[in-house]
Amino acid sequence: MKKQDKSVNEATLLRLIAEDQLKNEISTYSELSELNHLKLIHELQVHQIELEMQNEELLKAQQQTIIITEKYVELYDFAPSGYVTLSNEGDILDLNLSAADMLGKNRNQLKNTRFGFLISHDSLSTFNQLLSRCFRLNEKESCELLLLHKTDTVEKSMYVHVDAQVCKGQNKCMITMIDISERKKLELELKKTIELLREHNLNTP
Amino acid sequence: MKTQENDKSEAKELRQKAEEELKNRKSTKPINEVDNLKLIHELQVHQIELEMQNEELVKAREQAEEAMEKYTDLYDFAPSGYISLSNEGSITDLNFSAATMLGKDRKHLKNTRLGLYVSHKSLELWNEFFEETFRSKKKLSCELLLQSNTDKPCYIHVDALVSQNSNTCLVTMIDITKRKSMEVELESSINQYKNLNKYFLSRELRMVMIKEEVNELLIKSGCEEEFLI
Repeated sequence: MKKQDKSVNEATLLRLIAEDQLKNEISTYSELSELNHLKLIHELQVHQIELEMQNEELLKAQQQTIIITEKYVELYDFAPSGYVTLSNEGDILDLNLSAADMLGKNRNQLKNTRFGFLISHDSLSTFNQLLSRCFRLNEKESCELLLLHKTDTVEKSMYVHVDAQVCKGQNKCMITMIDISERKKLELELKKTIELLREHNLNTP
Repeated sequence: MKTQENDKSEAKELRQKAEEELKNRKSTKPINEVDNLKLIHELQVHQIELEMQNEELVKAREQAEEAMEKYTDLYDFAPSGYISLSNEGSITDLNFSAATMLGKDRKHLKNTRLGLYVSHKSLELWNEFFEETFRSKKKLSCELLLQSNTDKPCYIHVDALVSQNSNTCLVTMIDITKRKSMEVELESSINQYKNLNKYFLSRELRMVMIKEEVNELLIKSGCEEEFLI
């Protein structure tokens, strides 16, 4: 009901503006002959239909665009891996739901914050190198980072693999991240085993 | 130049259609002069209304197109591979990175089964994994070896998730070949150490056995116990 009221209001407003514009145009119609009047009426009627058809086309095109956009927004938002768009200074411009989940905060809270604040101290130089290399070389770059998020009560960490690529013709860089904590744990265990075996060998006469 | 001509012919076509439509619509003709003037006024006002609506629509379409471009770019040019799969495992959509990893053109990959590009070694794992994503409705990960035309193997890490409102499985993948070869090196060095340990162990066992044999010989040859080794 309300929506209908609104569209009625809009229509009235549109009509008022149109009337106003018409007043400003010089009108000499009363001086025209009847034949000319009929011609003018025909012209106006044809043009009106032209405009109506154009409007219909525009509306259709817009609706199609919206449908396609919705599809890609969904693909972006619900992608299984984290997507983050960064400015060349490392600020978060955009991110999807998986990324927000990995970074342990709400999407809106994360926008416009510096990505560097969300990673461990040890990973910071790796990340800075990645970003500068990415913008300098214009190639796809990868690295591994340790994400850290602290709340008052808990401190969580997650190892991620990061792929980064500069967006064509823009001063932005897109990164994707996947959780590799489990694999990282295995890797550390493997390294420990090797160390142990090596020591053992050294101690054997 | 060409677009101008195009515009002209489009305008002509539009006019023709409008004229036809008008013929269909015309019902009552104005009777007198006063009516004519009224009608002209009405039509002119309506024309301006429509023109303004038209302008708004053009603006709205431009905005919608911008949003579409932004999100298609985010999809197409993402650094990791992104594939949508039907519940039968056919590729319904994919981005450029995914096409690069699978080593073919995007249009050749659409509507083919992803399993075709997985190596024999990983195929069973992939089939089970794919079924499990639909069953569990959770995000799952695995590592696969892809078929490759070159000598170099291509390993990928896969994250998959079944989208809530459709029967589509969303798959992202990254190339982990470099890391995988490091892992293989790590494992081989572990094996090396293990073998070395085994070797040392067997050498020691052998020494013990030799000692026993020598002692037996010594006893046989009448050696006294205090001289045994």
